[in-house]
Amino acid sequence: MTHVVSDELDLFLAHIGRTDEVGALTLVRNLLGKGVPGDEVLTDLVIPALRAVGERWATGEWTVAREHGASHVTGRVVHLIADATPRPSSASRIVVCCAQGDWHGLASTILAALLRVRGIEAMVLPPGTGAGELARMLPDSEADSVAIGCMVSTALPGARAMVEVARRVGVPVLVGGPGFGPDGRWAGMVGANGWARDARQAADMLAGPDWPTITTPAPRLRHLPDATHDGVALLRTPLVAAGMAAMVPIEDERSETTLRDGLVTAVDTLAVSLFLDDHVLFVDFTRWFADVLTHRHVPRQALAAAYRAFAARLAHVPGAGATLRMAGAVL
Amino acid sequence: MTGQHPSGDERGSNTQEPAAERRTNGFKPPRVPDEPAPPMWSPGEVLEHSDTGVVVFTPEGTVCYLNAAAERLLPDCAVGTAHPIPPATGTSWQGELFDRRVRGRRAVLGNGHYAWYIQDTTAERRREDALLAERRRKVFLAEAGRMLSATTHPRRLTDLVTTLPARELADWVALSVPSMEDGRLRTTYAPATGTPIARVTSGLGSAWTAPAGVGRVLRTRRQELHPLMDQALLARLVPDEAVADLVAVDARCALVVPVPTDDDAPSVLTFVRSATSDPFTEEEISLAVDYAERVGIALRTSRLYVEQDRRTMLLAQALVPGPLPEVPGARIAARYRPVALTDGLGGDFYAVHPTPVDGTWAFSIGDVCGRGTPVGMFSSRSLLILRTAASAGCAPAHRMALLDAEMTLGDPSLVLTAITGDCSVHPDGSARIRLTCAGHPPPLWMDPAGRVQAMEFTDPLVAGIPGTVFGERELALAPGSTLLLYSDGVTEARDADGEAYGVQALRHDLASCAGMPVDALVERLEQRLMVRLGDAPVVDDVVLLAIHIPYRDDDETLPTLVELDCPVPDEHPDGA
Ligand code: B12
Repeated sequence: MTHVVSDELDLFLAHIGRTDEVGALTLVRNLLGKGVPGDEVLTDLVIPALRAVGERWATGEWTVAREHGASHVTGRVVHLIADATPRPSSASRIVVCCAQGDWHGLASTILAALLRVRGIEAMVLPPGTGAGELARMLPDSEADSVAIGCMVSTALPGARAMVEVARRVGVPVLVGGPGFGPDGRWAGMVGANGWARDARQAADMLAGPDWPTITTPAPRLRHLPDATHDGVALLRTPLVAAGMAAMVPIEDERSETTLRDGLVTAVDTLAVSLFLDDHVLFVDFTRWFADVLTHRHVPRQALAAAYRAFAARLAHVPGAGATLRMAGAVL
Repeated sequence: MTGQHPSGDERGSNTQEPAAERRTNGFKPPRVPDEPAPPMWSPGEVLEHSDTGVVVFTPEGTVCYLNAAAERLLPDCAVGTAHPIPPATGTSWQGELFDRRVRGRRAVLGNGHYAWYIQDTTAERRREDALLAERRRKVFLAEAGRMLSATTHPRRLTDLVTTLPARELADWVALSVPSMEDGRLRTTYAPATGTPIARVTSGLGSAWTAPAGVGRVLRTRRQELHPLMDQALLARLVPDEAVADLVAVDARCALVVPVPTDDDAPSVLTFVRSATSDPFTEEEISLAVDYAERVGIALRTSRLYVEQDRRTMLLAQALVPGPLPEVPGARIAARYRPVALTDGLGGDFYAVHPTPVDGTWAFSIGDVCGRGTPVGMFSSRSLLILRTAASAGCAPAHRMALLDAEMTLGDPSLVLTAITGDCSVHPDGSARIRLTCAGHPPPLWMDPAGRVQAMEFTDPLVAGIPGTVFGERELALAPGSTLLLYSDGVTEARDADGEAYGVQALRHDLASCAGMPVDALVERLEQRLMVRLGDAPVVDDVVLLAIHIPYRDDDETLPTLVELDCPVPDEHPDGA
């Protein structure tokens, strides 16, 4: 069955790449009609297609508008699958949301659909829901647990804030998504009760005997009393300006926007790196961003120059200089 | 005294310094090898009076000396025998001797002998333990108070109440809440082992007459301590369903405490300890009482909150904009992001409504200034007026004038800004917009090429001032164009540096959405705004309403989509 689904990948990608909602919906409707289970369509067609969309955006092959159009159509498809897939009676109730600052709501919707198939009643909160809103809605939600997804590591401090409010009222938190790093290495720092690789593992953990009914408040972070990362985040605007000035002027306006957005992300990632006490995050980001820039014909040295400009302005922030140097070395 | 010593000895100089000699108080160290003075006292005597126990062992480990203090600490120890307790190696040792806590230090003496100096630390340690326990109790209360006060949901709260004391206070905890309304007693209990929390409901009447336990505490409001329980007593203390559970944990003693909630009947907490735990101490009983007090405050707050919240929610739900209807010839999408209800109801509204003219429909967006219940109520009334006027066939300016006239009757402190307009779609697919903008941020529109322009208006806001005249303006939208209406909560939102997002940024971001489906467009605009704001709190409701006029060839996809029975039928794809 599986190969039938993945055979459709190219066609499905073509549909969503043209924002052809009818084409994409018809394709998926046919698969479901042939008896392919909804969760299989999600894991073998939709998620791989999204991965390809991400790559095409990263290589510059697809514009931002095209990427958004594709995600939008995929969102429709996910709703269709979710509605067509039977839900077994549920043993536990959870709230699924994005980490504050992460806007990949589609991932929460997909995860929720996959969890429902496995007998977990999942309620999705819209992306942009902050820690404050979570704190206000959680007591009334009857939720046994909260699942927080994070696709971009810059949202990890936001995830931490949400974990804190959930655990403060005793609700345990499961986290997942690539933002938590390889093998969920930053899930502990965020204070989560657990990390899951995928929906299957998430469902097993939530239904397992070791999952707590009521949890204690999130453990404190030892290295954070000085709030070093705040010092960087507060300087975001002047740092981005300095970084832009240090890079060679770019004529193409579209590339300039990518560049500016990228530098904003760079500053945020540096801040989060200090928050996590782990330079790996910033070094990995630098590698990824350098590739994105190369596809847009911006030389790596330009980014190195921007980093030097950051370092000059962050001499007072402990750890920032060392992290920037380490990242500069991969450029 | 000095006379006993030859003047030539090492201390001879003392004779010339009688003051120094007086200071030594006659002390002569028994160090004179050739002429030992008859001792006034022996070192052994000193040792006998020491509080420190001294035991000297031979190299083989037999005791060869012990002082009185050591005899007291080790009554079974005698010279000539081996004593197993103080180890033969090491330099220090801590342990217990009978009921005493001791600390020892080993010193190696001459010829392989060794001595243990043993101190009784029982009193010292007891003080330390008491201090530590006191600190632990304080931390527990503070932590528990914090968690309880952060929880308002009744079920979660009772779960917390019964699980929090697990380690600190008891092996099994139950909370019984009586309800005078339905005459039931609801008991929640959680064994410390982490098995699921159980809930049972029983009749209040039968519990009320119980001679001991929950029922009695309900009547007397006095705590009860049962230092030793048997199964018969147990069965009277807790609901029948819980008895098996208590037998399983080997329940031994129980403490039943009233929870003060200012209600007619208190709630009741039952703490149970198993045979393997110590009985309740006086300090622990007062800790349980303190805990019950915190629980009482939390239960009271939760009840008030639930009542109030239910009322606010009812009102808020009535104000939440419904899903947008489907209109011929256009795609509409909106984003509405109200700030927290705790700040009071906001005054933003938007809607799409029908008109009696074929092919023409109306839309409105507005903002009653301020927050709070009157503002929220007036906002829904405003929307109703605009809707009714539109379906009666009134033109936009006329609708606004009707709203203004209504304002003159109400609270004079209320003012609002609004846009209301009509959209007519022509057979060729293009649309004509006719709108009135009263003090509201004027709409932006993007042409098919992605160029963004702003409309301009100078009309006053709606303040109920008699004689106010509102103008109208027209705009032709070619297929592929998008009109964007928004609240001032968008452009006036400020980031952490206090810088507003502004119309310029909104125009720029709108342009970056060229070619996107209209749902993706509003979603992206909201995201761009939120990303720009960063951690700064959103203090005003954010409303984005986009109207997109699609290309003609899209018309064919519309019937297909309807046939497909798409799950969310109010949104449609953009032209390819
Ligand atoms: C769609 C999409 C978007 C859409 C989101 C629309 C929406 N409504 O969700 C839009 C266009 C808005 C967007 C924006 C951005 N995106 Co984007 N996006 C994607 C894309 C293509 C798909 C994401 C998705 O939904 N995946 C579906 C999920 C379910 O798949 P999955 O991750 O494999 O999930 C599995 C596990 O991770 C796990 N899991 C996932 N979530 C959770 C949660 C829990 C609780 C648990 C237990 C498990 C779990 O279980 C799943 C399988 O069972 C990815 C590409 C990709 N590789 O995924 C990029 C991607 C995530 N985006 C990326 C980036 C950089 C961005 C932007 C910064 C820039 C941009 N592209 O415009 C912004 C960020 C905005 C922000 N701050 O969040 C990068 C992230 C790279 C990085 N390392 O940081 C990616 C990877 C693209 C790429 N290859 O470069 N994006």
